Amino acid sequence: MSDRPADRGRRGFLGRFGKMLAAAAALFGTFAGTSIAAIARAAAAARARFPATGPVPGYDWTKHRWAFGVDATKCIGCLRCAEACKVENKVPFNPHEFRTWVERYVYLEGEEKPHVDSQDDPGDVAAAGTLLNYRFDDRYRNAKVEKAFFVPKLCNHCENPPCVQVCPVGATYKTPDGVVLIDKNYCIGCRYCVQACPYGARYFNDQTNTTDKCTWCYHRITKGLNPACVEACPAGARIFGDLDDPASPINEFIRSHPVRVLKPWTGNGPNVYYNGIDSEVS
Amino acid sequence: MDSLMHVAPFVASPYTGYVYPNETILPWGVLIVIYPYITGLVAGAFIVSSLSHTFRIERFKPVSRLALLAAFAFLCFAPTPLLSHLGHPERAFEAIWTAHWSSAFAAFGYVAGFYFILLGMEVWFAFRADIVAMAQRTRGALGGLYRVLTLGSYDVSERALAYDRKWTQALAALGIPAAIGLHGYVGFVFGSLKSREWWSSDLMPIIFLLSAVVSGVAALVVIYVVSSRVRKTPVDEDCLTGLAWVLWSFLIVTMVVEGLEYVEMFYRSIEGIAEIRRLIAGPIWAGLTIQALFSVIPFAVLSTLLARRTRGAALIGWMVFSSVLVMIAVLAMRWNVVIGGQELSKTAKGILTFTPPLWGREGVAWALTLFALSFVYLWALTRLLPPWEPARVAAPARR
Amino acid sequence: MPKHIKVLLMLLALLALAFAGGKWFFTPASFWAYGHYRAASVDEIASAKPKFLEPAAFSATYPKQYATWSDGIHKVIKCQDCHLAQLDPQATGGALPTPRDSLKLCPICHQRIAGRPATQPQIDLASHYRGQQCVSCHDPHSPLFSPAGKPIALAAAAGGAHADVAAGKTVSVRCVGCHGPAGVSVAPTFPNLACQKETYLVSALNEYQAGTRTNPVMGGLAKALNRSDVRNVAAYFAGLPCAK
Repeated sequence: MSDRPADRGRRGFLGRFGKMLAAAAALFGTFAGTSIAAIARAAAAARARFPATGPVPGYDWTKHRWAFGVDATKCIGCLRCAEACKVENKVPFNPHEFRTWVERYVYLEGEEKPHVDSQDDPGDVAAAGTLLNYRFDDRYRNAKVEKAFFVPKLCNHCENPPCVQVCPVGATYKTPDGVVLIDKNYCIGCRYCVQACPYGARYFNDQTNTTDKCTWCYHRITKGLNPACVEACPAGARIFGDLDDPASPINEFIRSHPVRVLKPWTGNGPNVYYNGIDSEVS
Repeated sequence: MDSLMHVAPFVASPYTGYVYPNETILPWGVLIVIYPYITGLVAGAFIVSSLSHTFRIERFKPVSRLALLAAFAFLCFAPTPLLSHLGHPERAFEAIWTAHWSSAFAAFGYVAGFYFILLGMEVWFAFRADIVAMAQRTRGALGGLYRVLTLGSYDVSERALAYDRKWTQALAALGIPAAIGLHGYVGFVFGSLKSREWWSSDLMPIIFLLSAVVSGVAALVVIYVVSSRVRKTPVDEDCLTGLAWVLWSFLIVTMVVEGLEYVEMFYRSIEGIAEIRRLIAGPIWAGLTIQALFSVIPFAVLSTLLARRTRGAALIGWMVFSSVLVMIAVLAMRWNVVIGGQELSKTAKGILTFTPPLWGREGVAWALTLFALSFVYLWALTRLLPPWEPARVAAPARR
Repeated sequence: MPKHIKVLLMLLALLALAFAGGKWFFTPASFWAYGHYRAASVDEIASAKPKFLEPAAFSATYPKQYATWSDGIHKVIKCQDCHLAQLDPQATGGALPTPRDSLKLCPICHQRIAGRPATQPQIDLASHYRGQQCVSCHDPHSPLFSPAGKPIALAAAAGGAHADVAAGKTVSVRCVGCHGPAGVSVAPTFPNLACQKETYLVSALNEYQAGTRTNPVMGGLAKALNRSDVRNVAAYFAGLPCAK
């Protein structure tokens, strides 16, 4: 550049730089354009091969809007749900991987905060004596209990699921009937979704090496059955149904109880409605 | 029936209070500590090379190409901890083919990929003349490699080199926002999660970016001094003092911003602050102490060095000392964020204490191996493309 | 433009081409059919076979137990709740395992522990026929009946050992202010309790406790009673002579 007048060099530089920029922009534009077109074509082709009623034969996912209810006033803490779920969904039998679990809240006299434990608590595991069964121990036998209740927990199948938002590959998604599913044949196992869930509903399944969580037993509800945990509950503490069906038990439950959802401030819009819990349950 | 009983192959962390059952195995371990750390080293090294290449600050010339190679080497290794953490590494490219636009992790493939190409091109332009010379000089397989690297052109005329300079400049101009994007992104991965009290912060991207620069400059100081010792060449003291200035200024800003983050957290004292206090006093107490001390001590040392205009062996010795401490401080910071965030239960009722396994895929040994390999790779790169520049002012030999 | 720049640009173009090609080639066929996911995965999930089965699925294999169960109070629970569900009945040809230790199994629901609603029948393991297998008195498929099919006294079935009338008298001091020391009320708006049906008294108190029946005075008083208090005080008043 030193052998040329400065102004010419500058103009030349700008000119060539401009051309380079234009060429790069053109290249990028063509490239982006082709990519978007390719995606659109692929999507159209895929759409053509699947019916509007959804990909499950004999089940129309546009006709349902599933929701779940938990009546903590009825739960007896027998954990039949947690065991049934593990069997139904091949969840490894250890105290670290759960699709559903039950929490016990116990307020002792003179104390403000509850004592909380779940079936994975070492004391409760010891009471069961095996990793294949769950039960709550009798630790408050000699304590002065002021108030106590059990709260079943599971995936909230949020309206705006943060787990779906953070999945890098599209291995988890929300279906039109309101269920958040995981594609275990596509999940890369990064566990970002496990972090993003504020409810601890997701876990890393060390047998499939993918993330796993409650599907509301999608393989059952699409066949007209209840989820296994609802089926197993002897106390009627778990309610499942279709919000689009006025006669559905879930609508009856929501109508007749002062229900609340967990951590509403997250904006996730959880779809599991609770009755009989207090603000310490989150 | 016993076959159904399945003991998880991961380490379950003991806890106090109540944590969700699925939280007892931390989703992210040491590999995800080392991942933003290595990514961070790229930033600092790149900043130094930019100071020389883009901003034409002459005193950084002796390390400019070394910095570029270091940035490239670390960037090549940045994805490795993440990859070996994945449950299905063989599916990693899904994040490219079907990248989910709203995921910060999917952005990594694109941001890092873009940055990788950019940095690769910058390295190539910076070394092109040498590559051509070596392609003509070297025989055998290595010569073949150089000849491939020339892309079939031995043109090192003034006109061709002028083109190279233009490209280098344009790439560097793109590289700075790309670098900031890459590290801002790493902070965003954590800061954007509303589920974790300890991560959810708007300052997270800025903190990650600043501490990344600090750790990278410190790493470069160590690499430069050690390589000079190994090569028995003098260290350029002007350059080192310049690096001390860069380190000092980024360190002070980092410390202030990180301090503000804590002050704000305790000043606001929203619900859950009691558990945060317990986290700080408990599992990450040691980590936070290291982070604080190893930031303050180097800062004091650097301030003294710069104020007294120290030269010679004292400058070199104290610079290496400060740099090593700063590197440890930033590593501790990564631990405190990544592990600390998961030790604070989402229930806001419990604290976990994580102890990483030594062996295995999620073990400390493997994480350290990956970290060490990035340096071995850098060493190999310097053998392939020697980045050394003669020191402009030969320092008196004081060993 | 020098040759090396041209080659470089070509390489970049090739890279972009490889990217586009990869995207086209590696994107699963059903991706984007409904959204950013593999549509095929939905049916992969939905086609799994249910393992926790309706009790009717076992009626042919176990007709007698099924009949007893369908007629009893345990109809709310399903076969696999107790016949430990770890075994996949499809894998075992529909056979269900028999629980060996009822003293371990039944308390899963019926041991008295803090948190169980008052409406759930619960026993104190230490005092309720200590050490005996539950199934020696109760038919597990219909526990209000003995294995021989005889009905079990309600007081015992409702929650453990027989009521303690003496203890009930101690509890009754809280009631007599309104209902009278002899169970005969002191005012026309309060009912007599003497010789009232024991079962009725238990269920009335349970309803006050659960809040399904409300009364500003009785609600608070009932909630202060535990299960044995309820049983004992009910037995005490039921045993008093009727008002003249």
